[in-house]
Amino acid sequence: MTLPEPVETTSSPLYMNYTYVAGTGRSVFLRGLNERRLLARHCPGCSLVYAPAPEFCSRCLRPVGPPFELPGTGEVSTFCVVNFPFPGQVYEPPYVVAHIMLDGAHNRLMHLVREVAPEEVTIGLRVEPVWVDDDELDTSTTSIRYFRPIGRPTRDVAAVPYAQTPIGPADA
Amino acid sequence: MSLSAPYTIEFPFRRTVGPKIGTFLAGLREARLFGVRTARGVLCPPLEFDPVDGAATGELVELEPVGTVTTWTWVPARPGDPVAHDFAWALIAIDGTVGALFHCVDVGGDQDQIKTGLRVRAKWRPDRSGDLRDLWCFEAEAP
Amino acid sequence: MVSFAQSPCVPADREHDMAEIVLPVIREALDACGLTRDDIDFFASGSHDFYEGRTFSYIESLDAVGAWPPISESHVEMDAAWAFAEAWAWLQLGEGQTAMVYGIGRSSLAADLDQILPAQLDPYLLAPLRPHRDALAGLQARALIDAGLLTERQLAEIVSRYKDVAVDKLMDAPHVAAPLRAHDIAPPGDAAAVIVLAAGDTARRLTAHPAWVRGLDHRMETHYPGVRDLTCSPSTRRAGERAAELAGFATADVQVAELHTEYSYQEPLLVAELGLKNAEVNPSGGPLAGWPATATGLIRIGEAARRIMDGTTGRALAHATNGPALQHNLVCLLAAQPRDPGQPRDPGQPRDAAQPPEAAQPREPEQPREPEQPRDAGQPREPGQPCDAAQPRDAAQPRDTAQPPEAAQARDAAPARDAAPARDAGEAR
Repeated sequence: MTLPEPVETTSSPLYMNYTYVAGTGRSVFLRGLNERRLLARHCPGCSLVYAPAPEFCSRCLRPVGPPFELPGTGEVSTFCVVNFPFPGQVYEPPYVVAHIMLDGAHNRLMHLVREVAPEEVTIGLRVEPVWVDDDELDTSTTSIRYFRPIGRPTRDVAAVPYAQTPIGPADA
Repeated sequence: MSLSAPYTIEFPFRRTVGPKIGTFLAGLREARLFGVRTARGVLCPPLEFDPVDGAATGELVELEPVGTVTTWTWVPARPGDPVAHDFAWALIAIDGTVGALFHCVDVGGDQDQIKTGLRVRAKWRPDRSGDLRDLWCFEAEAP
Repeated sequence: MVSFAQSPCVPADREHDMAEIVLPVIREALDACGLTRDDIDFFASGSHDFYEGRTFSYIESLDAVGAWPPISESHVEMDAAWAFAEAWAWLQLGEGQTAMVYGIGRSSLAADLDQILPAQLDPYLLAPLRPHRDALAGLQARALIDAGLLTERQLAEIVSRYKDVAVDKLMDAPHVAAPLRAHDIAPPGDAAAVIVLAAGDTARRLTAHPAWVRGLDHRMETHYPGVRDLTCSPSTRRAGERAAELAGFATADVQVAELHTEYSYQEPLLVAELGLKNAEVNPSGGPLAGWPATATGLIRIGEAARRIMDGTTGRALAHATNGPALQHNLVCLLAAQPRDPGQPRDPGQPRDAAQPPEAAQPREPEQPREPEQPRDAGQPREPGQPCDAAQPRDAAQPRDTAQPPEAAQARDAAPARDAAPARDAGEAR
């Protein structure tokens, strides 16, 4: 009687279907994207402008005000270059994923920055959205294909460290 | 009004197994059933550690793939289940062991045929890969 | 406990994200005890990614407590009753004066709970079979019936108490996972619950009628159902005994018990293990009225405390559970009076130097643990006999005399090589 050679691994796949509920606040922003509009909301308590906006200010917990449209331009507050492949990847590496602070907003939106070589991207780079065609518009951030540069940095990046941007220090 | 949408997530994991469970699963691939020695008797399925005192379990022991249903629940068959008609999930005390094995018992879709104390024998899949599902189900032992 | 609030359990909330569900409940709980978010020293919460369908899903809920400036915070990936246990311990250690516990449970986001619930099972010996979501509960219910501790009619009688439907009509309903019928199973729903805790004098200042957490303990059993005795719940019993030691009164002495019964059959089992005598069980309607996943256990604590805070009861018990077939159980004992009134704190004394009265009291040394063997599944027990009292099976006795002789012989605790059906792979034959 001999023992079989042990198997080293076993298959344990999980496959799960869910419903995503965007929530009241997030849905306002997503519906704006379906109309090529970047919508912001103002907190009456601490004067922060959110884009995307929740339904309640995540600092002072007050309900935020009605939505208003932003011009859509903004600047890169930080970014990374994605160099590795992974399953489900849409773009061929290397490509840039950035936090973009839209003009008039105090928080950041994450999106792609293209039409520029990754090594040319800098913090402070001015960008604008490139929207999809009408038939591709959706209540989704995919309505913006990506952001692209509209010029050189307008700020002295060294003078505006990340931690001092409006959502920076705790005692701001 | 909030937006909502369906979506699917998938984790195509493979997991490493310990030496005892690895041998148990390799045994299933050969249509053989193994238990493991502990201080209070043989456990089937084997565990790497004794659930009572945490001691490493002992040597593996080959078992006749026959046992007794100790408890069961009757469920409707769903896609992906081991058998296509209604069946029982059950705990099966394999002969010569303490404790019991969780698996499917197929009595041909007739709930009247399942009962606690039923003697059952393993049925093996023809295509086996070293997975718990190599053990297709248990069926009533011929009287 | 100085405050409790919850949202109604709805079958499927398709309007609100996590923060939007919990924020109104947080406001209600804070308003009820006159605190603001800034007055809270510690936040603890419970939820589970497998119900939410996203990794690190709970961070969205932080927008409802305002994690700015950064807060002292903790989250458990399980029922929020365990977050409550952590927050209570944190206050007992004198780390602060106030704590907020919140639970969010959304059972409705998963399109098919049969896909989700196997994810809580052992990935080698259980999950690959993808058992029906109620399969392990069905096995436990059947084991209790076979042991003579329960009948299907009793299950219907329990449900009839909650649903105002005639027992015979309930008995006519089809089985879902026999012996369980749909009405035996807690219906999935979405809800949030919030509890505010405060230490000693702070609690007295905030409300005239706090519910004092007199004792709390939780115990876990091994996972694989084949090596558990499903006809008893020793983890519930142990947790109840330890909570009673801490509380200074027995679980049998409570007037109200809120039990985390996701299935009707669990009620008599828990009542027996906790030794409940005259307690009103689940006056809130219990989980059979609504099962908001990981908020369900926390709601039991809140509902039990509510009846102390509103003056209708003096002592109450709350139970919470996690895992399949009551694997892990928590017992919390609450009372209208603290165990030790304690000395009034000198107003000039710094807050940090003050000891919570319970912590200052010497505690009885814990009994040394007796070595024990769990009863093997299938061994009959007299109705009413506590499972912990069962002795290890006599090695010379067959495990089950009703079994065929060869099987009975094989059940001896003697090594399997002496048993006829076992072929020994470890030795030359």
